[in-house]
Amino acid sequence: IMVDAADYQPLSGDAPVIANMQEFFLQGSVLDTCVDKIHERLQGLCDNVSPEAFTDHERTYVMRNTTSNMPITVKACQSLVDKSAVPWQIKYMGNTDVGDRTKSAMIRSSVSVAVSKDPSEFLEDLGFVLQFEVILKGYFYRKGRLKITVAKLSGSIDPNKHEAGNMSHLIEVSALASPLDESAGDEVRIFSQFLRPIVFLDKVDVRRLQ
Amino acid sequence: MGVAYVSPWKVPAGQNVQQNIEELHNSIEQLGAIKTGLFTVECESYHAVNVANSKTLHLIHSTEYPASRFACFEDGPSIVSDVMLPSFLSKLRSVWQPRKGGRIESKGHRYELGDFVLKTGIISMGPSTKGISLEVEYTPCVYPCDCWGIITELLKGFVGENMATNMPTLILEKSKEIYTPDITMQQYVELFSNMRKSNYTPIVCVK
Repeated sequence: IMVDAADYQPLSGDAPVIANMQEFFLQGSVLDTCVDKIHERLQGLCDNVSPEAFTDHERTYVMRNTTSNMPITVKACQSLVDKSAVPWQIKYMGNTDVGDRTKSAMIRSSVSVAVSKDPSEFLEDLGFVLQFEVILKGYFYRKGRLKITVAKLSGSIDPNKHEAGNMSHLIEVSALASPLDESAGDEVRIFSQFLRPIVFLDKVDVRRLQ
Repeated sequence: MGVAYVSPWKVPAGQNVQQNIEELHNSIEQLGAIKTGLFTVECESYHAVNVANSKTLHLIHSTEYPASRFACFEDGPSIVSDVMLPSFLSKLRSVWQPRKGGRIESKGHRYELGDFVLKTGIISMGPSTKGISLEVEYTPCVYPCDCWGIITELLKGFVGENMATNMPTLILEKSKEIYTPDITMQQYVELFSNMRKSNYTPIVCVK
């Protein structure tokens, strides 16, 4: 019997191609009264598949470290729509790079890992501290490699109560690509321009808001 | 996928690992087992720098589950994830870093014998050989309490009557629950930790 050698080195040589991806993204918000218009326009612009409804419970964890004053941010995400079919995800969120005028979109590095169970205990053991949690409820569209979400944010984690609260929806257009792939940023920008004048998606320097 | 038991294989005095594993292969083949390939279980250990008495995080990969990564803390929670976990950990490298000499692996042959899967591996840390691991998996059953008898019976066939037949604590704790592969990985982690601690005279591996 011929025996095939295990021809790959797990942990070292088998790193997937998407290991070093950056997220190019733009954000904006609309009032609830305009959100129907956004949905109509997105259905016209995006790939011809029906938008996917989602309700996600998102917990944001941070870890301070001694070498840098920027904390490490990680999100743990669970779909509330179909808890058993969709695994928990943990997502590393790099610091957002707003860039200068020549850059089309904001950039952050991002690594998503699907995990088998509630990762809270695991993240706490790694040294993360829960910062806040939100519920995101909305729709998800796609166009090629672009991902567009229209969602309502709610600070209350009781799914029955979260209709109340703020009066706007968060819109995000994003694409995952290699850091050298400037065209992804342009794609995000051009697509965002199609949503005008209902919403202006732009780069937001979070540091200036604080 | 069934219930698996991982145990160290003692190398008798005066024999080296290579001779001993060949003997082990012979006795497995005499039972009628068929070689079905190679396997590797790799374990990389991480620790938090600048933290006193940091916990150790083990990241395990097994060729038996090529699309999964297993992570567990020493006596802490364990989690199963997809292949992105190593790149996630590399993003935390300002805090979590691989321990020096923290990489240990078991590499060897995989056999099938009816409903059983047997894996014999040579455990090595860098260039030094630490010992032999033997994994016995009984695939048709997922409850350890229901198939522990048949696993030990098979082992007695080539270990001899005097083998210990107590369930290891890791399995015993969950013997009435559905067995999951992360328990196998925890058994490997435990075995690797013991191999590191014990004063095995390292034998330089001849390749």
